[in-house]
Amino acid sequence: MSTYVLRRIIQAVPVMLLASVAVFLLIHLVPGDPALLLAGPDATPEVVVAVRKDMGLDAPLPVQYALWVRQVAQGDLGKSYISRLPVGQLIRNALPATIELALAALLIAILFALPTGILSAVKRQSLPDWIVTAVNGLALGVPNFWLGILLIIFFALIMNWLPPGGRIEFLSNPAVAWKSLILPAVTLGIPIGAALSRFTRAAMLEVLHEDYIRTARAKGLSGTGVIARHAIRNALIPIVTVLGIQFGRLLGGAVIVESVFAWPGIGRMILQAVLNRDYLLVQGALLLLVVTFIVINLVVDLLYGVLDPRIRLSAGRS
Amino acid sequence: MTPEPTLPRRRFLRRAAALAAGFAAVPLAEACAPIGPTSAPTPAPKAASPQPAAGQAPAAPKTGGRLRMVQTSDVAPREPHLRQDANAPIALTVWDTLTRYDQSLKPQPGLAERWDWSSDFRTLTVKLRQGVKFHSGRELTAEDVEFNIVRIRDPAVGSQMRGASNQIKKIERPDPLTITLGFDKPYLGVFDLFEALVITDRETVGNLDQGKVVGTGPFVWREWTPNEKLVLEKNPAYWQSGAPSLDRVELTVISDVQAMAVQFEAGQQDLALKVSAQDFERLRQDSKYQSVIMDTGNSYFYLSADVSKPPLDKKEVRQALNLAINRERFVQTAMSGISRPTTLPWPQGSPAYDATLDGSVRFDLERARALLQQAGAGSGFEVPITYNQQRTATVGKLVEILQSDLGQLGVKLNAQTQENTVFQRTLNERQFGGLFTHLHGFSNQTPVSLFLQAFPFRKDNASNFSSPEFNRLIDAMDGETDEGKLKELYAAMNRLLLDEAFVVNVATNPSYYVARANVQNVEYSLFDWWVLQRTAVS
Amino acid sequence: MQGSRAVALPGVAPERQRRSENLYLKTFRRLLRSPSGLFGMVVMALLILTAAFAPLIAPHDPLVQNPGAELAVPSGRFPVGTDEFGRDLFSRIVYGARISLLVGVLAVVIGSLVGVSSGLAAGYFGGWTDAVIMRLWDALLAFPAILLGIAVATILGPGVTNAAIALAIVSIPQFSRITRASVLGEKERDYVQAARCLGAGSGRIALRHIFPNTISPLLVQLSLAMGYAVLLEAGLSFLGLGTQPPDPSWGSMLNTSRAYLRQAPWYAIFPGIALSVLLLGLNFLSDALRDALDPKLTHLR
Repeated sequence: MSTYVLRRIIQAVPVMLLASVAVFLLIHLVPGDPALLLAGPDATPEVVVAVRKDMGLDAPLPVQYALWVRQVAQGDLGKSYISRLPVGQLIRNALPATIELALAALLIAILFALPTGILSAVKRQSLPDWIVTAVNGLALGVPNFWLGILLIIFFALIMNWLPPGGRIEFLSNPAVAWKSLILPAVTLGIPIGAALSRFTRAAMLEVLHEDYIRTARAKGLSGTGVIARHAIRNALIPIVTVLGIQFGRLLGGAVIVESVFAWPGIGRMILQAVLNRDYLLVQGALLLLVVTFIVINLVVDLLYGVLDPRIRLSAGRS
Repeated sequence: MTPEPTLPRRRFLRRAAALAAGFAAVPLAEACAPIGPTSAPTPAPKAASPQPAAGQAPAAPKTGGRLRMVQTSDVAPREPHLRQDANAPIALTVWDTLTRYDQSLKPQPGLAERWDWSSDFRTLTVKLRQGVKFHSGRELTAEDVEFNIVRIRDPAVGSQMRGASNQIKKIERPDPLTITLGFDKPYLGVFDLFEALVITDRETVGNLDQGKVVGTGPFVWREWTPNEKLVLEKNPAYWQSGAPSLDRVELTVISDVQAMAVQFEAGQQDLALKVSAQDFERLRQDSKYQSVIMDTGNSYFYLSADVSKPPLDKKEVRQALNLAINRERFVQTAMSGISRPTTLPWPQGSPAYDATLDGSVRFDLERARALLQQAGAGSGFEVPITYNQQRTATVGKLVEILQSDLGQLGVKLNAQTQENTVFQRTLNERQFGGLFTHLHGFSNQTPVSLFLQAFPFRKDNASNFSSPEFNRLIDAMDGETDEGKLKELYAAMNRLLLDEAFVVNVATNPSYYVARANVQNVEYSLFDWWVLQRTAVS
Repeated sequence: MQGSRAVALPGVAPERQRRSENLYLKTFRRLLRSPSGLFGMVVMALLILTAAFAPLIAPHDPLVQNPGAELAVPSGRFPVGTDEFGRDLFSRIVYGARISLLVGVLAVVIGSLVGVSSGLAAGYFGGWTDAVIMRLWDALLAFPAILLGIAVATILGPGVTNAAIALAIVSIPQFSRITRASVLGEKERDYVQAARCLGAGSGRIALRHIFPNTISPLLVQLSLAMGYAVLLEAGLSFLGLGTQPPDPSWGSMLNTSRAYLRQAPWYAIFPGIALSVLLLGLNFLSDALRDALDPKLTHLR
């Protein structure tokens, strides 16, 4: 058991290192000179050289990388070139918006997915199943930013019920804030809900055919009792883990929806920073996202290993 | 836009005499926002002097209250001398300048109470206002002014006015409130420098990181959450009595234009700067709001040709291209009618403005075709056209229109976008190798500044255009003090610009805003900087 | 493909080889029988036909501007209206199919080539090769796909081919993983051991014996990846990377339409419908493929 845990943790380390190199390289390979941007359009070449030196950009790339890693290890993510504020602070400012949206989206996804997934598994190959499958397929095929635009057209422009964008902090004024939150949350949540619904269905189906369920039935427990007590509980494990991974994905992956709804989240911040060549901000934020995702994955794997002995006992897990 | 009916001809010598006498009388400040139901695209005149002359108090607006403004980019107080559009809310609220231009390019007193030219116009003696205090309590002296003038010479600051500052060859401070500037040749453009030079506090200007933003202006920097909100509070010790009216200014940053419009319409903001053009169109119809186009001539769209690349080396070809620009369609499609088509780079208040010449180039594909044939390019040709990726929403649309129209003449334009800093570099290095289109400033200052500072119009311009006549005109303008001669030079230059057509203007790129009806006396300078001394929210 | 394999493997019954030849016909037939598979194949056929015969289908030139008819309401002349330059939206949507097809296919081809070869190497050689390659892809997978796409597209610059390369990079890890998993499964099989005993080199074994058996899951992944690539390309164009004006891409049309939502909502609606139909088709196709190629039903053993 502990070898499994140790092995997985050790495996995660080089991944994180590789990911940090990728983060660093990605933004540094982007064409365009942040020194030029910072120095302004009228700067002479000497000024640009001076600014570049001041930013530490004249050192060779590996050196810059090493310096950055050392800085990060000491807890310092650096300062944004554009606003001169600490990267950590900027990320902290954008984080609540992202988390708010991610949680709301997941909530909607769960509210949609669990009932439909369980229903279509239990009533397999009958009308409810076909309907749910069709709806899921539809929801997965529609690009979420288009869905968002359509929702804006209807709810905001035609009916004028909801605002077409922008964020009001939920905790400060829930009665009003939900109106700004609901459209982007639905836009993000529906495709996730569809995927989750399918996953729930599959997980339920697998569990429903397990031996112990048949045994329970043979023992005389009623159908619904069997489902409620055993099936759902066991299907929940993979579902929860999928949710965790989705949450990790949503942190940075909601860029487009954030753009459509002018939601000031981290994805959008990274996009802006890439466009502005704000190196340290991109590096810091991307690194955070990537490390978070790796950690979530690790936790999920470990949980699985703990809960399902088959996994940790099999050799050669990828 | 209707030209002002009576734009007073500036009698330069009379003005010079007045200046020499240190005459500081000033016309009453004109309101910048015509208040009223359908304030359609009336060009709001720019702000006049912030301070009324002694004895001419303006009608006292209601005092107190708070103005809530919103814009899409955050302020950047890190470098107050690097002119950025986003700093419009702070440049003239937190700081002051020595002088400020009025609508007809006459400098009005600010921190400078009066000024005297020597008889050969090579020395300017500026007398500072007494008793002006920085927000930290310290009194303003000539030393602060000298500090700021010298500061922008540092290339690291990156100020656009560096060259202008370097024209000042000698600075002396005969007494704490007097500063004397010496030049090699008459430099009337020094007021361009004064217009842009906010007087920062020499003790704290390096400490912006700690949030210490100190000036002499009507509002004090209170609180800043970057990318979210900035709060300014009334400066009770402001040197202009009775100003400011407001107690507070709150600036919110919302990076999406549509979200910004939403907040404005929901009543959460009093003034929104540069909502989307479509929203502006819509709000213009609504009598609850004022919709103002700030026609300050601060920024212009232009199209330019690298004359080192055939067939762009033939001026008939370039003239033909000029005739093939459908300016009206660009203004409608890309700018929703907010901008104004132009051919020459001058706003209507400029002494170089010429209404006839400006309107002499109309969209005419047939004439363009004839000119191309005349130049031997009748069968068409192919050139790249480059623009800055950041400007895709506006300039990109111009390129699409040009591609379509010029395509009918057999001219194939290959659109190329360049990332912002790459574009800047290509501009600097003059290596476009084809057509390029972008925006320029410097039009609303002393006309010669355009040819000394703006990339497309300098002697070492990005088009690689050079001619003895061009250089001669620029040299003659620089240092000329006689108004009549200047007029002739401007006229000659305008004709040259149209004839050589290596750079032609397409349309203005004005700033614009919407405000609630209860916002009064919002003013702005030539650089579109907010002037809020008399602003009131009833 | 598999049917033309000339080498007779010792220890492999002839019936197995014959059965493998019938595999693809069976799969195809099974696909056509399921409703989702049918839908998917029809959509793909439609897309390919539209792209190929775009000049015949589109009533107007997609690049021609019609001044005076900007943002026109759908009518007989302009079936779904015009854009802000007066260009016919229907024609632009039709030609946009070419771009979606090009990007989807290009991204998936490049991604699968790199992904499959690295997966083959990782699975077959194991050890350090395996560890390094897999950790590399793990690191890439930790990035949200859209951000990775944005970063790479920004590095390479705007344009359709660069977008395709960015999307290819995003799709590589999954191809690699799937191939590797299949290889790991097949590696220990009898016929591979037998071939090795006969002295066949690793490369030959990998290419001629193992690879063909990994095709089934790969096919599924190909259609999934293509759907994802089309979606991401639309996203990139939506954000201003990817296709550049005046080329008609569904994603960039959706982006531009946002500025005109009030006066011309149809501008946003129809390109989105086209995109959704394509994505739905690809999704259904991959679902049907997965069912049709279910190893429980078609395993060679």
